[in-house]
Amino acid sequence: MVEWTDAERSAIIGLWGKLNPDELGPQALARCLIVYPWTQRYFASFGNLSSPAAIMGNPKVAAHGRTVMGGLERAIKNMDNIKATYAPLSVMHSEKLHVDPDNFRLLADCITVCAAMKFGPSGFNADVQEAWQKFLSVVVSALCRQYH
Amino acid sequence: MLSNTEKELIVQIWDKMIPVAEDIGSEALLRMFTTFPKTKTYFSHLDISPRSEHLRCHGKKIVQALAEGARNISTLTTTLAPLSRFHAYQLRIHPTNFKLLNHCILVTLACYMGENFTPVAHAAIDKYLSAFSAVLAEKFR
Repeated sequence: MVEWTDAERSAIIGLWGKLNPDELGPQALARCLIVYPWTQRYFASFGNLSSPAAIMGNPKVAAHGRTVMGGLERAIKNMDNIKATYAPLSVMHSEKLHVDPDNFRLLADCITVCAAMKFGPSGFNADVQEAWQKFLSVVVSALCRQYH
Repeated sequence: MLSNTEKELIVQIWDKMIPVAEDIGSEALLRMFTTFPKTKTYFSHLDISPRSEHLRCHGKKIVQALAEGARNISTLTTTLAPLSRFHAYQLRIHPTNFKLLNHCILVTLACYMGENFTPVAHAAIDKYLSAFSAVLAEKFR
């Protein structure tokens, strides 16, 4: 089971409380599709992804970014049991969506970069970054668990 | 592959970092040591506590090397040859660590550039850092 220090727990919940998932989710997903273009392979049905501007303006990308943040919210609410909470999501990403799990890390990194942009060097200091990245790596690991 | 627009963007961004090389460099290192503690194993000979002289000095060297590389992107292998030999034969850093520092450099840039760290700028810098690390790791075996 994952052990969270009090400082980590408070940093993660504190950061989540300050961010706007409806804004950050779309930004992070669009960024992922732009910075790591191979990730677009999973979104062929989303319409126009032909340029950074198209991706950033694409309503399906934005909607899906919000869906991803909904998933993160469940992890925040179940921080001591992310593995079990995410089991069905993991099965879905593996058996239905066939997503290469290495790509989860890329999206997690883009979420981190967006948080850094928003909160700057003091709001997103090294300790907050450590806690946040630990949280995201637990989420990614839970998503990877049901891949066989 | 870097387009000409990306190469210009990279030079612009790194030129802006030169006057604050110590701040940016030491912060990227501190973030790396905090988020990925195993990276500290390469620095047992230095005082890498926050705001230490060693951390600022080392951070400055890294940012200056990145700025120099940015101005010589088409000749990275030649420009970085001494650094490349140094990393291969003396430092012998496990290659996965380059990605960890690169990520922390991106996060530091994001913190300081805010909205100016657009997805296009992010992609360009990420590609540049990957190319830079590949040259540093070139002589490893």
